Amino acid sequence: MDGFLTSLLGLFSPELFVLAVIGTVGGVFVGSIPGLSGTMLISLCLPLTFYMQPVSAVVLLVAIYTGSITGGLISATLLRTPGTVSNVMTTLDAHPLAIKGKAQRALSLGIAASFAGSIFGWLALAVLAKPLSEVAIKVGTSELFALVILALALISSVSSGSMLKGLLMGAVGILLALPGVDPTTGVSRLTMGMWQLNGGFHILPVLVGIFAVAPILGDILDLDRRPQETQYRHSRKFLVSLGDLKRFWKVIARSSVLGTIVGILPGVGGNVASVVAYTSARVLSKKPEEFGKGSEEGIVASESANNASVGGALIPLITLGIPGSVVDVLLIGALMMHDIAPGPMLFITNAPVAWTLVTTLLVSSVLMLITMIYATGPISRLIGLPKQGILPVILVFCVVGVFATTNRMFDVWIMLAFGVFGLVFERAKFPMAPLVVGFVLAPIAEKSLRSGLMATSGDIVMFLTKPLSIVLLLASAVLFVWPIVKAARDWMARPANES
Amino acid sequence: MSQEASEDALFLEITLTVFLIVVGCAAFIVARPIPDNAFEPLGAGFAPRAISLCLVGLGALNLAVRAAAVRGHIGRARGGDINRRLIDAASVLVLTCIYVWIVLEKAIPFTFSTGLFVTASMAVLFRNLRRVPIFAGVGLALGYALKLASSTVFFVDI
Repeated sequence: MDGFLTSLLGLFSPELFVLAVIGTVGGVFVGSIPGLSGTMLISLCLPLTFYMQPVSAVVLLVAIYTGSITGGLISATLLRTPGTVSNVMTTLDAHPLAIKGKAQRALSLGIAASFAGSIFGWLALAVLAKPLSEVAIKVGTSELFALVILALALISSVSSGSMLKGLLMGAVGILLALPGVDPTTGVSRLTMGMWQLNGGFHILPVLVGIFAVAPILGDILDLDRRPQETQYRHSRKFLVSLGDLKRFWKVIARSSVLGTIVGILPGVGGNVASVVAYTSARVLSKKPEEFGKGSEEGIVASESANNASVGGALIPLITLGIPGSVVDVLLIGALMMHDIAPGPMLFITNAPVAWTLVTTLLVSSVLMLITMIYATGPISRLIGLPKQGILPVILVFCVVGVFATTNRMFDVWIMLAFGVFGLVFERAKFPMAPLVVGFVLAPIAEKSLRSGLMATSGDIVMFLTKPLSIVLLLASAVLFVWPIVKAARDWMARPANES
Repeated sequence: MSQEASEDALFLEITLTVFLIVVGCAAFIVARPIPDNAFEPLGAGFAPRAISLCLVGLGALNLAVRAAAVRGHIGRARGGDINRRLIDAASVLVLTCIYVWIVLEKAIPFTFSTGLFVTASMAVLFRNLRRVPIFAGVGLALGYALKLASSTVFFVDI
């Protein structure tokens, strides 16, 4: 409790509070512009955080994360284009409501639900993080290896696109993590004679390439697509009453719980959370026919779930060092640049950082509420800015940011290569989340496996004698084998269908 | 998504899967000579060899599934204009590579190279040459601000 209060008070120091405000407002703004995302802004800010104290870096990045999830609500409502993938389900009902002339009502409901979901996710994080990390400390190498394998299996299975493509991208991510001098034996591997790869691929150019350069190139390809705008005049009237709270509390509570649980699952973020909550709300609703035509329940379910997933996703990051969502991969990247390893020891070795993750979510949720109530009007005018003028500027920031951090032009080339790689593979509907999760988790998995085997002189049975690791490995095996069996069955069935 | 667009995505997916299989094979060949050692059961070469084999296997499976789907499309006439925005994206990418090379070689001072890059990219994307002075102004201001920030904040000489 002392750590929590100290961290909360520390957040009101001028430097950290300004960073929290900048991050939240920046996140809301970027999240509201279709094509730009919080992930992109966080990627761009990673080089900047290298020059900050770890606590300041965490404040900025978590604030952007919180703001961007909600910011997408604005364009989802006014343009029928979700600002971020987490707002896809919101679009289905918020935009029809806006067309009926109730844009202010749709936005107010979305903002209130976002705040409620965010606070619920924070509560789960605050209550569960420390006790779970105390349990996680007792996890041995075999269990950690099994857990990482499960995380990889889960993210590959649940990510968008086919499961087989998810597994394929997970394997690519792991392969990308392997080049460099092996830390155990000192042997150089997969460097192809390039001394620059002796330390492996630096995490920053990989992440900036995939999450910033690739979307920029993708945005250029989609420049001619014009979103359908609605007439909207902003007023500061917050059209949510206590009666609404009474009416929607069940939807909010259920969606927040679902959002938090989905958030906890490794690699699965707000997009899946909102789909699950929206679907359950429609199934349990008394007026399911209204969903997709301007249902207020639909907006509330989607927004409370995607915001609750933020807190949920931070739980595995703090307790196990496993990313709960793609944005968490970037947070891990930021911490790694400061030589901080997220995981069960975080509360012991870097308690201020761990508590700052918890308290920033609370403060940035409140700041997000204020920003959304007062700044929706100006932001709604800014989302029409021509992207032709923004994209080249962001590209320059990517180049300078990566160079300033690593001080090597080689990494800038790597960033561009990953940008093209990300663009091409995303166009073919290959999911990028398994790739980045595989890239981050592969070293942990390999290290746990090899050190575990060294301790038992190569006896693999160690992994099959501990109950937790057996359960986790069995679950992973099911997740890995199922898509392969399904693909094989499809392949065998297809010629018969065609003939 | 239109049928033509989904066909394009399917062909792209197959091409990329073949590319990944080639990468997997290449990684396996490169990882094969990595020596095993006495004090450690697995050795440094185990993970690259195992993962590259996984990549080849998964790629082959995906290829088999998608090849069956594409069978019906082969031979169908494929028309349509080349997406103009594809050319824009390729142009901006080429401009970025030239920009990075110029910054690397320090052929032109950073402020001017940034100004030139931003001007050229915006001219390509807006398809409007009359606004070039505005683009140049934005680019030069950005270049100057970044030069100042990198030298005073990051202590990096660009």
